[in-house]
Amino acid sequence: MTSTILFLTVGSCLLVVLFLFLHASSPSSKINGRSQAQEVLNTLQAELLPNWFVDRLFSKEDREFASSQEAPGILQLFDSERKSVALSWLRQTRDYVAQLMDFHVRLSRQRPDLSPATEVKLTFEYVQFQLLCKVLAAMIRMLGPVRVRAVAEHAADMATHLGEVSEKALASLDEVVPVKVAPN
Amino acid sequence: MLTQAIWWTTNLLEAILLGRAAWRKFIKVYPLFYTYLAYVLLESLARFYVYVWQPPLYTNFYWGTQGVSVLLGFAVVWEIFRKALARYPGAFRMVRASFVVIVVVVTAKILANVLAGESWSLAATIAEEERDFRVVQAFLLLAVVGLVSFYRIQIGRNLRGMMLGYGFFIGTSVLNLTFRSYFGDGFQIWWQYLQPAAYVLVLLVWCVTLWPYQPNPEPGAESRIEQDYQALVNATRHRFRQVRAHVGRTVRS
Repeated sequence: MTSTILFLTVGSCLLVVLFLFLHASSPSSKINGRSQAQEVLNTLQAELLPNWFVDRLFSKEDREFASSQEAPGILQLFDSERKSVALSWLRQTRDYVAQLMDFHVRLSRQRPDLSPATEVKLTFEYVQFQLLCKVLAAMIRMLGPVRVRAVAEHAADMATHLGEVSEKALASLDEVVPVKVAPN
Repeated sequence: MLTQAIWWTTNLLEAILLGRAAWRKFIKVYPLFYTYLAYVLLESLARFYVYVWQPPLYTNFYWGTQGVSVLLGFAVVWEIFRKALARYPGAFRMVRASFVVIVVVVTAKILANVLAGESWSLAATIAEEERDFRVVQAFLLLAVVGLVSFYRIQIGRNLRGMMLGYGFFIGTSVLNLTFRSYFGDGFQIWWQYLQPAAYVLVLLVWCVTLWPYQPNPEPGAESRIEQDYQALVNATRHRFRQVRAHVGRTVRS
């Protein structure tokens, strides 16, 4: 009976996947060249992922300062604004990492020296990152940015790592030309 | 009467597909696929001969020839894989590695079941053996479709049709063979209509998608990434040639 269910699942899966494949449209890439990839990477590393920035965005000090103010409604206003900034940061970070991953995929499909094990590991990390971003977004909405600092730092670490992988991929484009020859 | 009509329709469609490909000279572009199709057509006619003139031999002849067609099915999967990824060496390596993993996992599963005393691989009937092989092909096709989507590889109308048609055939075969194995002879009445009807649909898909020759689009037309990489590869090759020439001149002098 177990085998029967397994076989029926495999057959049905194949039909469903083919149906989805038939209706899938190829997403257009936002990065169409090396310079654009470098630009996205620079923005990610320099503007979105520095430690001080993430620390500040999710820090409790600012909230404590806001709560110490006597003006009515200031804390609610702070919470609301900080929440939208944190969500915007998360959205942008996720979007930039997705663009870099797309670049990586388009690049790696052409590379004869691709390591399947590394690619599987990277894809797994990317899926983990995407899931973490979804969880983090839900947590920010429910608990606010201050209480999810540790998770945000973990997401930032993962994004940093994925950015480093793209950096290496970009650098490896230069390594394709290993020979320096004196002009004749 | 209906089975006869379906049978003649499949033969006619196969002949049309083969004739069209031969006439437009793209039969050589997909040699394994058209070999498979030619085999299925000949097999069908041979079965008809045996059915009419040697009825006692029919069952054995049917399953014997079916075994060859199942094995040729692997060649079709290979052709899809090879043609889809010919210009993408990285993705090609990835699919090849997936194939190895699938074969190892399936073999391990078969061995484990044999050692445990189950008859998953040493199937009780030839139909079950065919189902097992079709399941392996289903996994291989899933790997190809998954990785073609993952690597955003654009494939042409011909190959898309081949994938969809053969995938549909494999999917319905696995379902039909599983039901047949589970319900036994009680399913035979449905089997004789469902399987050929599904195959007619497959042939119609192939007739539509393989009518004109439309190869895969050139890679990188939509992106400069590959062009960057290709430019670097070409530059490397050029410099290597320069080095060889330089070394050659140095040695000669």
